[in-house]
Amino acid sequence: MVGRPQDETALVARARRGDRDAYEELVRTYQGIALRTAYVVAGNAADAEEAAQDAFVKAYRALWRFRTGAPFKPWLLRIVANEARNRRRSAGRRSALALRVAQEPSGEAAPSPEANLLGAERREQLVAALNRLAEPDREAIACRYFLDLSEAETAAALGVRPGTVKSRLSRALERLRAQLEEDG
Amino acid sequence: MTERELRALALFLELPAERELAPAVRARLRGHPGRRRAAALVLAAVLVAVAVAFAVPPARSAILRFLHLRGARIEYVDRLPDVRTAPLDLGVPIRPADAERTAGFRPLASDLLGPPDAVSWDGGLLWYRYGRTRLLVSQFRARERLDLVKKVVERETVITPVTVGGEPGYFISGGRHFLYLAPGGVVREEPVRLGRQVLLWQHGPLTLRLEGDLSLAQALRIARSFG
Repeated sequence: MVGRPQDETALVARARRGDRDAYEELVRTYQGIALRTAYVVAGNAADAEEAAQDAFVKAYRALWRFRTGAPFKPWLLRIVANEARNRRRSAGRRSALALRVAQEPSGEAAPSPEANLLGAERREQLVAALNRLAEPDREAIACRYFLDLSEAETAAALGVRPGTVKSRLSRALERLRAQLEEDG
Repeated sequence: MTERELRALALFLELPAERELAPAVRARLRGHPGRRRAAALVLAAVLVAVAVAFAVPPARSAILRFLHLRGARIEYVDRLPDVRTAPLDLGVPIRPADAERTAGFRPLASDLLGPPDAVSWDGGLLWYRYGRTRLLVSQFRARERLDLVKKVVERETVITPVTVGGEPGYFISGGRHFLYLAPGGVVREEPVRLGRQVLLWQHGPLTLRLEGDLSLAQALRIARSFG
């Protein structure tokens, strides 16, 4: 997870004055999480990249509306998720999660205790159940547990008030558990 | 199923690897028209900084027929009401960053025009002014009651139905047309600037109004840049 850079406020202020180098630094800081968020919502790597790119361009043009001193990441992720959602809707498809083909945990030299928690069968069962959930439920779970977004960032990505993230997530988890029970 | 299991699952999911987006974003920003070009676009617009105070009860002119947009209505009347001029009043100036909190909805902004020169709130409509009111854009979240009524005389005014982003709108040009704003349900002063065209259109839950000395093509180009 990318932390909030100490000089983010200064970078945003410079970018607002038209300093594109400063904005480029912001893009580099958040391009990873922007891509992953777009992917979770759009369900397609090509669309995710386009959505993230468009979102960065739109965010730059909308910087004048950005509240000085506010965290940049939730504001950006809201734009990213909207772009990705628009693409998914125009393509008329559902997003879906998939397991990587090579089934070693990503970014791990040796399997972590967390990775050892899940056997291959359980992973497949979880992904299948997640993909049967409604999109808003799957997005809520993905933002919180797969992208490790904070509640405020999850709220921004889902386009809901921060106060409703907990209840949305709790309902999504209940439905996921019900789905898993149904699958036996 | 535990939350720990879900966090562990993230390690096995297909998620895109980080890619360098900055060069592509930079290249696209180089193509951004910027404020100078936007200003040139609106420079041709004529400012007539007068407003017309509401002076005549609406019943005085007969409504022949009307066109509807969400929260707005264009009425064809047999004759326009008598009006008297008053200073232009677009409400209280606010900071752009406060627009969403003040208006209670997320306002749309234009990719083409960039930031407005002034933002104000009149209690019902959020106003963006570009180029010292050479171009005015107002927006509001449509409710059940009418927030905006425009009166026109058919033989003097041309109304062209248009589509903006798949949603309906009307381009009003030609003769004088009068707009009555009714925030809070009370009909009040009405700004009208002579010699200017108006494009009214819907965008999701919002209704927008663009006013300036613009051709239909220019107005549509600007309207489509709001998102």
